[in-house]
Amino acid sequence: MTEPHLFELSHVGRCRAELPDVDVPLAEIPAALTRPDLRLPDVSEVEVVRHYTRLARLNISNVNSLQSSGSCTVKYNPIVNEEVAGLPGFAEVHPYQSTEDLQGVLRVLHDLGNWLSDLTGLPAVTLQPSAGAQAQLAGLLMVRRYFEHRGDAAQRDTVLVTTTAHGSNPASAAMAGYHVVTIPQGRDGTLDLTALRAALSRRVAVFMMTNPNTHGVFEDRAVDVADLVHREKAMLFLDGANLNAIVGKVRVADLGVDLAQLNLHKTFSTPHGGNGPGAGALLVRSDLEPYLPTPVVSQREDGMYTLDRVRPLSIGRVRSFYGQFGILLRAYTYIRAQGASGLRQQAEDAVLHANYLFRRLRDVYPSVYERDCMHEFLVTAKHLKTYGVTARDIGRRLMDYGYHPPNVPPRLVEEGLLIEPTETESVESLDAFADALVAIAREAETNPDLVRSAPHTTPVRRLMPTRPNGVPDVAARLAP
Amino acid sequence: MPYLASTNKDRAVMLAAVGRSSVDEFFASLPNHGHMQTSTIPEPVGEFELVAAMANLAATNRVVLRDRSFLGAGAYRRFVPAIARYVASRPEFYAPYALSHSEVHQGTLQALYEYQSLLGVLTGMQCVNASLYDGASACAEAVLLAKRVTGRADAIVSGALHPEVQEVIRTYAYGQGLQVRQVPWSPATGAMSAEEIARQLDPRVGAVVVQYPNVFGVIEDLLPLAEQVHAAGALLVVYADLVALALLKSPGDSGADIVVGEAQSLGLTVSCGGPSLGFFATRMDYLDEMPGVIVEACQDGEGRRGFAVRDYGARDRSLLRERAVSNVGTTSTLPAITTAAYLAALGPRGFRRVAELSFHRTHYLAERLSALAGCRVRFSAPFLGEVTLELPCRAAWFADGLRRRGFLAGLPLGGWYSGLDNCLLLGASECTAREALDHFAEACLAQLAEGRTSRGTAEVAGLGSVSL
Repeated sequence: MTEPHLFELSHVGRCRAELPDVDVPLAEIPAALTRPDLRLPDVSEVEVVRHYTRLARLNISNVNSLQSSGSCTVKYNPIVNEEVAGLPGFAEVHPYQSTEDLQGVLRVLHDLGNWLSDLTGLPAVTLQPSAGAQAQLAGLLMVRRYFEHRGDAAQRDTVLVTTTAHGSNPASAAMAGYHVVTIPQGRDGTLDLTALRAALSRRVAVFMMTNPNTHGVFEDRAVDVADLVHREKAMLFLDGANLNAIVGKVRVADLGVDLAQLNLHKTFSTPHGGNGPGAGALLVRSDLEPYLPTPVVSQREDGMYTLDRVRPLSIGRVRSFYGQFGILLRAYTYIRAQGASGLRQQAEDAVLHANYLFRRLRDVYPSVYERDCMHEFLVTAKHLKTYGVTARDIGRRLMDYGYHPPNVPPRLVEEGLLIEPTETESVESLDAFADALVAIAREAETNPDLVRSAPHTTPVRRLMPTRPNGVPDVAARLAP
Repeated sequence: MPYLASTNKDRAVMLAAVGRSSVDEFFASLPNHGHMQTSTIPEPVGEFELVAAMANLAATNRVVLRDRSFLGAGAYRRFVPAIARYVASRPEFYAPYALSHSEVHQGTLQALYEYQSLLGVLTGMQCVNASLYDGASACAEAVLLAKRVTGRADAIVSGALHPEVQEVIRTYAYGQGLQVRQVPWSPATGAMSAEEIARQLDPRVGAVVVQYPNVFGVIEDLLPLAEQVHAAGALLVVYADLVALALLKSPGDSGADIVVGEAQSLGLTVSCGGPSLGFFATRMDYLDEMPGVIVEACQDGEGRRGFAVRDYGARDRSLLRERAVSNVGTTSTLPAITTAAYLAALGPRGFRRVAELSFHRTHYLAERLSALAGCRVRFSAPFLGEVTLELPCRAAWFADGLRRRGFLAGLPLGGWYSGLDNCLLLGASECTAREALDHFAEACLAQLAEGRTSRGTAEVAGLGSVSL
């Protein structure tokens, strides 16, 4: 049954929210400045609660089942972290209170930054960016200012990205004002070093690399890559979206990385929120430190935490206040619960789980690369195209089995399915997911229409805009 | 390690299945085979110890009661109805990954469509996106949109736009080679200088950015400005406060082309400034120029209504890459849904009352405080829920004194505006009843009196003989 939206549920007078009466003399707003009406929905409290409860049931997430989206790291989000974020000492403090009164906040930011430095081997950090993409933008702007400050900015106008890179990499490079050149990958799923060598020159400011890459393959020549990049005095930027595979196992600085962005809503388990809020951390080598966004948290000799606001070489702020504090707090709480040994075990289990699931599936869905995977893997469903079934069809059919579909990489791989199970799934959960995918392959052969027309049991089936050629319906209003 | 699912026995089973003797084999190509030590990260703790440790850490922050708090300046501690918390705390809303698979995310997608609709009413605009990170970055994105559609690389920002928002615009502008020109505000009225903006409006200007009400609390007159800006071929970007829009004429009705801002005060705890919620609204002409996702009403083959991200393929960064309108991916879905639930819980009368209480009580507070010797409302233009008060002493000293008395008195403006060292930005709200305002006014009186004693002579100079 279709759930009415709030504007359809509205009846004049139904909402009884009681706020205090005005208890002071009335002031006057100039009539020319006031609005004539406020046509918001008028819904009773119980109907509002039922509306959102019904809507909640239409979603699936990691509280229902394994969420297989590759490179997204959709793991379990500890419920205790929500409780911690709600403590009044964190939830009810104002960003412009005196730093003396925000010592707990600053300690969280300071320690979390130190821990991430420890894990990456990159000494300087900002936690201000709101998400991975904003951290990329901040990092690229810092590099621009760094080269400008050293007097060779005009020359370095290019950022290299890989074909397997997430779309945010080229988009962030363009926002930072760079030309983008794309480096292909070789047949084994790793970067084509010959192409990289040919593209590198003194015009290149940054090479952006994801490792493990978004096909689940570890770039095992990363150190050679770094040497090539550094020979041209360019910088190696790591998109850390896939850190979950290597956290606690290797410091990315030891792979020659100069700066890295981490998505705390992936590796460190803060909820995805249905597409936010997230938080991005940016870790950089020491000579980039002066360019970090303001302010920077520091600790004085007497132990007090402060905000360092006077930073003449800084690129400036990328957002208001000190970043997504409530999300950073959840990541801090998560790291304290997991501890150093837990983070290491997390990476090992994530990789083991992926390899186990990979092995369970590869007889039915051939692997794209003949090698072990890291925390995610890429298989193909191209053999099912003879039955008219695509990778997207298989993903939709998985919804009928109660799962979120894998990612289907948009280019490069024919009918690819990119699957990341994460460390929080049990072996039974991995088996059940494998069984579902195997069953779907069988369905594709015996009853392809069933798969092609999936999903069948979801609240709605495949959707098309209601007004494909008219003015798009992107908002409702109250009936006059 | 409470969140790991596998036991050693499970690991052995899985290793055997993949024909490996040790997990180390997967990490063989890592330097030192993946053996590294961390030096600063503590060892694991269980939930009991974790909660106790986090509660202790929370206690090292100072929480001031809401009815003793008059500090806002872009982050607000407002009444949050229980329903907003109920919605935000449901894992069905906070845990889903994203929006790309509409069949299994109808709850979130419909809630976002409702959010877009509600903000369309408040802003007076035809289309609203499904959220951005925060108000400041939303404003920077608005300036970039104006550059794209006008082809003009300069932007004018009012000096009375929140300084942190100005700073973020400059950061984003740096990457795009955009020139940002700041125009002064009127020292008498506190409003933007329309004359100065008119003087600066030349064919290189693509965007004019003003705040409504502005950083000093002053209500700008948008209508004549919009006419000027449009005559010059530029777009008017209004950085608006949504609570104020419950009472004020909407920016859309005054001719704004883009309305952006921070919606944290509608149902989100202040949480030291984040998570935040940037909103972005514009006219239908620029629908597909908006950064981020937009949710559109759809139907399936059986005629059932549903909601999906608009034209995901064509807008998606994974396809457009460097040609995408923005790099944003993860934004603020959960805060957007929470804000919609806040508005649904309060309804039109409740939300209007929030704004009325802020308005009338801030004026009462301004009257009480400007009756104190040496104090006055600094600017002559009308204000709404915040006001700039001029004191006979440094505002930083005054605010610190009130902090010791248990209040958050407001924001001293001297850190942002060199001429306003004696000015304090503060506001009242639905959380500060008349009694709380009277109590605060007495504390302000006592603080000023302290300034005239030997301890504070340097602070309230020349007022020794004036009775308060």
